[in-house]
Amino acid sequence: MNNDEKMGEGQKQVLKQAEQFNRQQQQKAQQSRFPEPLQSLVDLVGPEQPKGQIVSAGEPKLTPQQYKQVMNQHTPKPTVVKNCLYAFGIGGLICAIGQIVQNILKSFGINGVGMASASTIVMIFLGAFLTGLGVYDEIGKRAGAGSLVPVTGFANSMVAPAMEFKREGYVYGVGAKLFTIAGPVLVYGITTSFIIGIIKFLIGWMR
Amino acid sequence: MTAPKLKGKQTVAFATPPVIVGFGSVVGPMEAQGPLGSCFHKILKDTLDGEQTWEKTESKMLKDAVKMVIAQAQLTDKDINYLLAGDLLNQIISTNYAARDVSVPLIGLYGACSTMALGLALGSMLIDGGYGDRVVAAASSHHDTAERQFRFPTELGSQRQMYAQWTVTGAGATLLAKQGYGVKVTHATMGKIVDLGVCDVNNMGAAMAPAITDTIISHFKDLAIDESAYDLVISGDLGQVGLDISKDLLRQAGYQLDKKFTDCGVLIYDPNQDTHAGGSGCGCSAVVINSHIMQELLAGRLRRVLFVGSGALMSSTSCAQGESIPAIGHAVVLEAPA
Repeated sequence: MNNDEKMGEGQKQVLKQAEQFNRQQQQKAQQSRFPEPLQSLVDLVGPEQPKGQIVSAGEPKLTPQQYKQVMNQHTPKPTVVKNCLYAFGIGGLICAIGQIVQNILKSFGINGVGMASASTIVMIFLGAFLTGLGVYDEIGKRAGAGSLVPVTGFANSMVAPAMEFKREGYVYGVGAKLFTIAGPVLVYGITTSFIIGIIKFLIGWMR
Repeated sequence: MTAPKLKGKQTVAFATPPVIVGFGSVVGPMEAQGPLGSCFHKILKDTLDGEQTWEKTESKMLKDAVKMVIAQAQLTDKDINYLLAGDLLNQIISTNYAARDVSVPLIGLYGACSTMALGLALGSMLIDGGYGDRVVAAASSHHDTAERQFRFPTELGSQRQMYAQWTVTGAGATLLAKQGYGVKVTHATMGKIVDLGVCDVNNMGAAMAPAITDTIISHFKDLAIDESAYDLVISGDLGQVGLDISKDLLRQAGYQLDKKFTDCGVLIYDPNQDTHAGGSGCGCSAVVINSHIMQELLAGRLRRVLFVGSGALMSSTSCAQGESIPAIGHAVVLEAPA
């Protein structure tokens, strides 16, 4: 009995506080910016009382195949031409920067394999540096394959997991997850080069 | 004998509808820049908000939202009977860690983006069933924690599809009570899993649209009503693509919901924010419902709202193994105070 009375008081307190809070929220709503979709909605529908009609509509029975058609109608298609242009432009720009780096190295008298290695190192540094600054993902968002295929993209795919998983420690975080993105590239890149090597050997042997 | 409060197959009608006596939302900076920015209650200064990891930030947001609604009603933790909360991360860690500092019995939920609707429905059932007087329902998500769990490292230069959705950084909480002044929860419809074979994890809107449509139609049929009963039907994050599909499916079923059907994921961001199809994540519907929609209901601009939370219940493992996405939709009816 005593407990019931206490709860009653508690409920009264809640009632009072809730009213006060909800009145504040009403004021807040009146001051707030009203977004377009709801604005038009209220204009069209108005706060009217429910009518509660009985419906006789059928439930749509869809097969996955039928649904796929409906889904494809509403799913926006990728902007292929625009994406290709971005990839071509930005990918080309990255390659042009690579060429500039090579030419500068050449002017310092570095030639041949040394020049190729040194320019790759510079480009990897740039890719890693821009990833660290949080810029490379913004480039990649637009450029797609244009920023993925050059060696800077490879640097991004190594540095991004390194940054991401540092919080789980250096062994089970960075160490274990460093190759989550680059791993598949390495696995199939090495496998492919191995197969091509065997083919080359066989052709040479048959001659 | 059937249960007296069960209407039709999936819908329950509350005998004494529980009242929402407090609500709160915490969002990240990007959400604050969106069209609903002025409606939210607390805004983080950046996505880390002084924490070491994004997971800690998400947990803190959820804790802040829960503490906020309890404090608003000038109550303490011991006045609350249950905390029903969930998030997107493995083993719902954000919820479990947030609940360390809230001494309220916890019922952890996983319903992906439908968690807020699920929490409201279950919380209302607990109160109307007489198992508690005050219940807090809450949900959270964080863009960066979700990205690293479900997709790629955040700094990876990958391209997002035009139909992809952006996980909202935010947490929302609702305080339900047996009586008081505020928005009422009058009905709830629990959804069934619907899977029409969508395998693309980036097209969650399309995966969830049939489940949402199924729940909406079941709700109408169970209560023998149609779309005219509501001022607004709002889904908890189908995104633009899913919303269009769902409208289409409802039209095929004979319901003209076009003008009064919108989506939390569509409302939360401005198209200029480059999120593609809109927002997603538990936090998306949690913050939109616990700010803008509640405020509109209290202001009387909306009288009756059907809130349908949608969940895409896949994991990165199931998707990698080629499984399609099982989706679910849970609905609750929110009614403005008389």
